[in-house]
Amino acid sequence: MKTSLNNVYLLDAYSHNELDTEARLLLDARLIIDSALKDDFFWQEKTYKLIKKYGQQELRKQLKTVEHDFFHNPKHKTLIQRIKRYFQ
Amino acid sequence: MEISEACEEHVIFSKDLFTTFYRETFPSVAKYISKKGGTLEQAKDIFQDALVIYYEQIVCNRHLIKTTAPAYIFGVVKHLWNHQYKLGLNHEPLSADVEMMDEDTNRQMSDERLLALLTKVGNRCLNLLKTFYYDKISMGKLAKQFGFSSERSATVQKFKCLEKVRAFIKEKSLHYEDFLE
Repeated sequence: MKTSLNNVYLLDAYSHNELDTEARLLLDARLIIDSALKDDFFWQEKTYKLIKKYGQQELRKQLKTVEHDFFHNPKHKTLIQRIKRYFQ
Repeated sequence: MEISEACEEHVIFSKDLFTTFYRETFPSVAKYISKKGGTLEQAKDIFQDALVIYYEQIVCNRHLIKTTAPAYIFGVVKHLWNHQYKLGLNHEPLSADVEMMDEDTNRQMSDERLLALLTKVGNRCLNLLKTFYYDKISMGKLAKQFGFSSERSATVQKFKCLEKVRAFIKEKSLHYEDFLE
């Protein structure tokens, strides 16, 4: 793997607690003295956060489709009428 | 359905599973919310929030809880109603990462804008990363789904994508700060 990919791989293992104690301590120290690595770590953490946000967005879109199909399926007509009556 | 069964099935998104929840669990949730003075729209929103939590905690993280899926979802609904909706705090979509707005976050491009840009330029990478990190799909299944010849190729591609997306986010965020200055 290229050096830059090694950096991504190492930080990924660090973020997901997959490093052994020795490697973790070493990286803890490098993050203090190596500002470029610290910067990469910051943006990688931001990337994970955005991936999670994207996952939630996509899940909500899929759930909206399921909800729409449920409320518009003639098979569920009686059940939907019962649900709507709760709010009258 | 027992929650452990859902974990064993572990699919990215099962339309059938969630349709079953709407058919079998949503009516009692709607009844509960109506009794508490809520609206049908609030019942729909709170149910969706509960399903997102169910997906993240049970399906993605495989946390085992000694209860049935409907009982778990109903418990989350009650909790959300009592702690958020009843107090009128449900204006924003549920997120575990509540950010404090400060000067730095104001200066950075919003996550929504960044995501919109990312989906335009690197949707395949973003979907690959989402499938691994959010849906927690194994590398073997991911390799098949995305047409890689082996787990090794999929793993290398995952890290290339992570590097690419990281660089994109950094570049766009920093340029946005420059633009503000």
